[in-house]
Amino acid sequence: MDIQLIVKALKRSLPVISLLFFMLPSTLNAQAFCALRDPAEAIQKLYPQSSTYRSVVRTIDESVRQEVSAKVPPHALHFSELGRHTLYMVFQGDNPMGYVHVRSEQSEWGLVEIAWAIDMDMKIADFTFQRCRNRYKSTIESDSFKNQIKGKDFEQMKALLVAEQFTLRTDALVVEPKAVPLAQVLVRCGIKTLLVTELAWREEIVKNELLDTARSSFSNTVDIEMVSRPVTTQVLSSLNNEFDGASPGIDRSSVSLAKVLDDSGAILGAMYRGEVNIDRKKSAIIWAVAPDGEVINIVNRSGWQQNATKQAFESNVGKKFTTGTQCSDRTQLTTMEAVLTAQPIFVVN
Amino acid sequence: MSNTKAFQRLAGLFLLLALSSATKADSYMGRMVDSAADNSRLALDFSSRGSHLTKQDPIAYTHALGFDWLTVISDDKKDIGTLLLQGYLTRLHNTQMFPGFFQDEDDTEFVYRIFNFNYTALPGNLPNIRIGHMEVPYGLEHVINTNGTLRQYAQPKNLGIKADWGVSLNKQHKEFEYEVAATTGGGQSLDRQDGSYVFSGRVGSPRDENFSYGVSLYRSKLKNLQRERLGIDARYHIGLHGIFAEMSLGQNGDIEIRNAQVEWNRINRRENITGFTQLRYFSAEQASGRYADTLDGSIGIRYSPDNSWTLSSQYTRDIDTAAGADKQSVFSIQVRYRYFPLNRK
Repeated sequence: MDIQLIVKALKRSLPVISLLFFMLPSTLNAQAFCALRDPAEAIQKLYPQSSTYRSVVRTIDESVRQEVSAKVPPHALHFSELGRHTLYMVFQGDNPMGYVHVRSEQSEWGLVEIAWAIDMDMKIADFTFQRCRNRYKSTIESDSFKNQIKGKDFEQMKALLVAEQFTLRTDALVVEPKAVPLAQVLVRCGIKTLLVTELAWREEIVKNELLDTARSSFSNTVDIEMVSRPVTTQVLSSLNNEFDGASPGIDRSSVSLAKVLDDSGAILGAMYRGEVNIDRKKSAIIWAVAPDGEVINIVNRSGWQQNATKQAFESNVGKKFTTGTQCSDRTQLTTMEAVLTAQPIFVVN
Repeated sequence: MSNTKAFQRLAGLFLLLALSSATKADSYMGRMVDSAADNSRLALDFSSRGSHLTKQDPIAYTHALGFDWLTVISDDKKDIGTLLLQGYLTRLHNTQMFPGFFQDEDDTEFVYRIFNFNYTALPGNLPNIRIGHMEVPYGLEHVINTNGTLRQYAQPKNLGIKADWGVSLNKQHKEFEYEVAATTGGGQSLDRQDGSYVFSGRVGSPRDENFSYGVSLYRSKLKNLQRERLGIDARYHIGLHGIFAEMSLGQNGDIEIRNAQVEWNRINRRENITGFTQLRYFSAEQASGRYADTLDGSIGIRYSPDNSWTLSSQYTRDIDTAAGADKQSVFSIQVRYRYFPLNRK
């Protein structure tokens, strides 16, 4: 082999290489797209009753990476985890059953690829390894281990690890000692999956939450239509008048609103979703409101922290809220805000 | 038919798709077009390869500039199909060993790599239907994509073709996966060449398992030569190591053919470095009834420092040649850069 020839070749390629170096940075994996495949077998395993699934591709970008770093500092996303990723929405007939998201986590044995089933309330429903070269894979996939993970939400998964660390809390899970390293990888991956899914696919998740709750609140619900700017200047002005410029505590930047439609397209009601700090936890609460202002349903999809809070909110169901003077506690004030924000939907109708 | 005509046909198809986007946005077709836009992944792909063949001067170059576009078309509740289009303007310079769709060693052609639509909306256990330019489903190549990379398996030498225009039925089940294809044998051309055809198929266990295997069947007529093959392949992963093997038996016309290949590879924990070594054995029956055996080996490495760049190098050498032919060796280096211009929601 003539070294001079190689040097000559590299010299010739140099202008092209230099030009490429100046190009913008990218956000995807270096492999060609023909290597990407749907996790069809995993979806069948995780949701045996499912009939179809739909891919939703979104970008996990620097803003998501920063939010993950802020919320779970030890679990920052590596740059190779950024780029276009797919969330699979799984259906049984017309009804959404949940989601599947596949994430890779670095380990001592190369990348471990896990397909996560997430239910409509953003809790772990199940998981399966797409690829794992650790010999304790079957231990972690056993029912006895899985049952300790199923049903956990982001906060509960986070609580399995020693705060701000990668290590599993000794009392968190029952697992044989040799399988602990893989269990740690799994929990870390689960934490990131729940958080990243919520951040990157928020729009789709909120819509599904509202549709699911609408179906249990209004019979004849066929679809919902999201309202693009729910808190308009007009709504804000009416809220300020009603509450004298104060706020009952709903984070107005988090509000989502949807019209509930029957098969003819007529509006059956409205679904309002807002994030509220209750019982020292930020919770997303959904109100179903009828066109006459009657509250049809109030749901906290992540579960109420205290029974008293649940009862206080649910006591507002069946009531109509028209003025702030009717309100004697915070549950009624937040309900009043939901009803007032939803009202313009029915006026337009 | 020429590549130009093939391209015109496809352009017409995509024009129809584009026109459908003009339908009102809330129509069924409009929603599918929206989903194709939202689910789109696009990369511009540049690669430059230099290869030095024994006793040959100067170095052979292959430069490729192309696009890699993948999207999923969906309606409200299900995926309809996956569209994957890869087209590359490919320039050869002093490349003595070139595929048949190039005119000579200094040619430039527009090359289709994978260019197909896989319809996935049939219910239950019914298969997906792929139409377009696809890899011939056979052996290890069906599981490990090597398009545009230095690392290759024996597909072109064994089967006479690597990718072709046609139609296939395919599906992944929990316990097994399969793809069965009927293609024209035209390679880059949509049309059959002198009555060419290719039938091929592979049934295998799920490829994501640490041990997976498959059985392949192949029958073709290419350049008036009829080939038949029966192949088995297997992959075993243990920790960071992988051992892959493939073996085929069959005939080229009346000549008995036996071939085999084995690969050992190792990745690092981040999986951005892959090292591999391969041995390939090819044996053809002679008129005397004896077999002429050839054996060659490769050693290579691939390094991806980030999401865009891939640097790879490979050295291939003949270990044993038939009838005392000269032993050749090839040393190759490739730089590949993928740029992602779209950054949608």
